[in-house]
Amino acid sequence: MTTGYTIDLYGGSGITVKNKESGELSIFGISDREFVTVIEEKYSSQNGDDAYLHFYANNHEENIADEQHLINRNTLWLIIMSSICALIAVLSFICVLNIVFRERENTGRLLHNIGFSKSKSAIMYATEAVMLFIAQTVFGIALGILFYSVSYSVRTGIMGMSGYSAFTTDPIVLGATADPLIIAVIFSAITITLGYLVFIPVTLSSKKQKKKRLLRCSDSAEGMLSRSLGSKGITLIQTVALSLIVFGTVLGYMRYTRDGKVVMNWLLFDFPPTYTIGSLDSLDMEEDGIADYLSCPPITATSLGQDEAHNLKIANYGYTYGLSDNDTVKFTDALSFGYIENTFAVCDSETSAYKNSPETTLQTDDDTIASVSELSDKEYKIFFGSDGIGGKFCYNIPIRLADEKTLNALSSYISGGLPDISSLNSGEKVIMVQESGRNTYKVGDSIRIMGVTANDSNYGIGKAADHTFTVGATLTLNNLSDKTLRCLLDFGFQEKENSGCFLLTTAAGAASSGFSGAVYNTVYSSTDIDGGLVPPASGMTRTNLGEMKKQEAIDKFNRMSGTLATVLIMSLLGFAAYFSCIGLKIRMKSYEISVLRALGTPLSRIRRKLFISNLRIPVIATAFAGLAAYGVQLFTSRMYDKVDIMKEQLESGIADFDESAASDIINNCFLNDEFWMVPLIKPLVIIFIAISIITVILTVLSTKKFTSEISVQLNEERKRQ
Amino acid sequence: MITTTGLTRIYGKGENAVTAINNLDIRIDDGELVAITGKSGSGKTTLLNILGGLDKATGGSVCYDDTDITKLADTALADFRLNKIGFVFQFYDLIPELTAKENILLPSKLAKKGKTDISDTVKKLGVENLLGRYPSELSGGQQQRVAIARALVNDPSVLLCDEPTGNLDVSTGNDVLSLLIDLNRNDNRTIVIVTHDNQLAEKCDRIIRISDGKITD
Repeated sequence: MTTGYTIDLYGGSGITVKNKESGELSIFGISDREFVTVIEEKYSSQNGDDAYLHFYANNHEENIADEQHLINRNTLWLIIMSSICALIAVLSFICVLNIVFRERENTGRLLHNIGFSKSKSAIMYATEAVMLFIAQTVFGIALGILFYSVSYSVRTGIMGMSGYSAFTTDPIVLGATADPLIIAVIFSAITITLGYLVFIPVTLSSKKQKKKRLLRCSDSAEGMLSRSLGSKGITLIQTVALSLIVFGTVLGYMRYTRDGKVVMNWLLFDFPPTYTIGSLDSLDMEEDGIADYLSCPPITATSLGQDEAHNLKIANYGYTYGLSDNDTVKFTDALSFGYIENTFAVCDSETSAYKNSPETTLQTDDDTIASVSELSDKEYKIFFGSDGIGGKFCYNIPIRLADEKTLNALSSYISGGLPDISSLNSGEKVIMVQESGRNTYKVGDSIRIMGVTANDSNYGIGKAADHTFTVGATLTLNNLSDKTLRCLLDFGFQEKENSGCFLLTTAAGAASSGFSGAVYNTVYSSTDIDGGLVPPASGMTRTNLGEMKKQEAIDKFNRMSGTLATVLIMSLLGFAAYFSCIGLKIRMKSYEISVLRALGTPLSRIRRKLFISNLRIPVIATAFAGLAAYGVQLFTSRMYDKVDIMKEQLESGIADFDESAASDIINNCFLNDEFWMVPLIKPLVIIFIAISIITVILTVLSTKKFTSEISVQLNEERKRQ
Repeated sequence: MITTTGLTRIYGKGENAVTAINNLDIRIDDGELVAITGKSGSGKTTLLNILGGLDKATGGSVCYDDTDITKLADTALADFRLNKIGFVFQFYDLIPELTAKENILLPSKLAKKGKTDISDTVKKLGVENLLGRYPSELSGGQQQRVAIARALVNDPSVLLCDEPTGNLDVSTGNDVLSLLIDLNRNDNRTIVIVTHDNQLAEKCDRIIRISDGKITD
């Protein structure tokens, strides 16, 4: 790269392009100019240009490293969330297995009593485990492939996103993720083995497990009820599983929410999304009703001399982009504009209107004149002499171009009425656009305009248009809130205050007058433009609001689909591990409940006891999850402080800036995306209320089966016992 | 005094309806020891369950003095059961998670009776040395004694026993029966025993024989 160098601060947070020739610094995306300046000063003063350039040097390896950082960060996130889901799944499985084997205890004893040896029972259970392993692995993989296929179809078919298959041999995919099939098999095997190893010995026992003797008996009805209705093992699993579910949900919330998030002020990123367009982002497609925006660079001009604003500008050689009047006439709901910046008015005497506006006065130093004359074509070598513009008074006056439809839209601002379009197209007339209070020209005045175009050397003059227009109308800029006017002003005018005035005509009018680059280079359309109407050679870039919104929706979906999938999986696993256990636990305790009722305990009291017992789990789980999430915040907060101290040290020159260490911390702690100081009380309360409501509902539903026919239920439970 | 009037219990509906108790009128006086006998499926356990409020009558009434328990709501009925009736079941129905002592004390604690002295009761029933054991550590006879102690802890005026010796050997069964007779004789407690054992029934003051949900004599 010869024209510039790029810097990518901390792996993708922002890109700054520095032009080697001009020293111009342009910042794209996320960055902080002040911080860049600090780095510039430090490195340039200490190490000279080499180190400065070294720091800014752009290379492909850096880009790949940044991409890898991004992949690693996302992969790390996926690993964290998957691990939580996997833990919940294991707990869920063990919880269900716990209940299944408890139910089997009597059967196991019965089999043993009728002569079924322990080894035979063990083989039976082992066979069952293998069969279950095969079944759940095959079913799980099939379900995974089905889920993947559906999401892949949605992404590629409905959302129009590029395919990114987990089953390809793409080295990035293979490098970032292990083979999902192998993981599925290993995970399934571990879960089954773990579950059966825990419960088979219990079931094989020929005697009922003796209760652990208590040192002190319960002395209250509540204590006795708690022990009668409690199931410590399952409650413990439920609590751990629910803690993980809440923690996972809070982590997901912390990652994806934008509420109250503290973002590093030098890692700012651009949200919420806006659809601003134009050279100064002065137009918002949504607010201004612009459905389609076509643009291409206008003809560029080289300033001759050191002062860019005040010097003679030569339009560059060989400009071929843009649209003509014949093209834009096909766009039914569009405003089309063009811009020629290298034109200037030539006056025989000093013009009072410009006298006190040095910005608009053309200035070119003698050295530049000599240099340009040297490189110019033969007929223009004396361009700056007395036969050319020498001795004349020249003022920069750009020409804006607007097609017929646009001029009609502007007609209400044009005093004296819109001139006949044919007189504009022929170059006979022109509209003078002036700021309010600056009445340089009046209708009927003549104005001589010149525009110089470079030859193939790009610094010498190859063509000079010289045309005298008659001012056919004037337009006063006094209503900047109007969209059409803002479109007109968008390009260039607002950059230069006191630019005074410019000429307005059609592209055809400017072209017939001999000016280079007389084309429309920006089109604002209130409806979608048929792509076929835009000539490919025009070099127009299309910005479509619908497409942008679609892309935004896809980006949002990409961001949120992770959360949705996580919430879905959490919910499914949660129901398996926690909510289903509520019902199963009550079912397991049906005998005790029936006996208690027979003895004279009202069902309402039993329900109340179950509510309290079950609601204790969400309380503990929410507290644990909240503490864990707070711990994560504390950790990221400390990492934030660490990086901030590094930055301060850099600014104060106390220590060298360890870019690699800062980059690692920012990437590994997700500081690059967003800082996780999210207020957690609200989401935790919402989650707690949600799971508490579900707990209460499921408890009520599970106790619905207890009717007034206590004896019938007692008989049934006796049989189960 | 327990009285039933037109007591009926029908299980199922329509063609599948089975009448377990058919328009029974019974009167059991205070302090009586009554045996309800009959073949399997005759309706004797159903009658006992309805008398104890463990089952709902399809028709008729069950009155304890002036209180018609068929008209009581769940909470009131539970309270009535807790304070006025003691149950002894064939399968003991002790709570496995609680020790013998806790099982015995449970109704007392549920009734919020504060500190209850069970020393005399457990001594009389011969379970004073078993109080720290869990039901799974007790024999059938021991469990039944604990169950009887539990039934007595709230000092109910009525004891309803469903095949109390049905799951015990003859010797242990006789011991349990002797205990129940003593409770009737010494404490003037009304005891209703459901049994299919005629020898056991013969030891009671009165026998109500049931067949197909009706009293046969």
